[in-house]
Amino acid sequence: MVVIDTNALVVYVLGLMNPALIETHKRTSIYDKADFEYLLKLTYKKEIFTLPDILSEVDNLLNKFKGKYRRIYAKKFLDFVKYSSERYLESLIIESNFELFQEIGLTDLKVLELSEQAEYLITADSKLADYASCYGIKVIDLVKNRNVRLLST
Amino acid sequence: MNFKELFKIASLAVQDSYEKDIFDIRLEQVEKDGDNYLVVVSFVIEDKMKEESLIAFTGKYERIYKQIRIDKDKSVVGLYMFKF
Repeated sequence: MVVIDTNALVVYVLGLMNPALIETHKRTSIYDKADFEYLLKLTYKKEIFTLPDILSEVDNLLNKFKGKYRRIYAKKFLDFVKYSSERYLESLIIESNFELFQEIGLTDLKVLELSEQAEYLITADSKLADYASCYGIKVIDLVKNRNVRLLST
Repeated sequence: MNFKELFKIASLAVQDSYEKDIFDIRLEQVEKDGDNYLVVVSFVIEDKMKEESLIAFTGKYERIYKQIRIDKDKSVVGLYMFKF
């Protein structure tokens, strides 16, 4: 079981639509086809866990396409929803994590909670990766990987 | 300008604006805005004034995000706080 966070899932869905779209989206501008292919490897034959909160954030960021990509987006997003396992976590976890909630917000708090049971968390959020590492969660940090690749070229 | 070049300019701008050491500086986002580039970088600093209740999470360290505006002549023309 692996968990994928919002930014990483945006890269994933755009890659499923057309890898060339990844570099054109403001939120994923530093990534490219190689990052999408890496995501495919990381999730191959893995059960992907997600949250309603993550899916809503991804949809808010991506459900703005016009023309042919409008329908392609809807189809690929639905495919992902069908393929992944959606978990519901009560927002009341804020109560027992009150200080942390103020630091990272509700969605990331739930991502950390869900990731505690996961093989690893795939994230493209540096701050979330910092917190997850401090919690002993194994993190695949896409921002770090991209920066290593950038500086090695 | 390519990402590597933009990252180098943005990194130097951020380092110059901080008196304290910064760690783990990363390129986060690049956006073209007319003739300018808007480059987001993140980095970690030690926050010696960090509230005691928050130290348990990431120690005395904190990740900061900054947006740097770079013009076509490779000059930094703005440096702003940034939040995703």
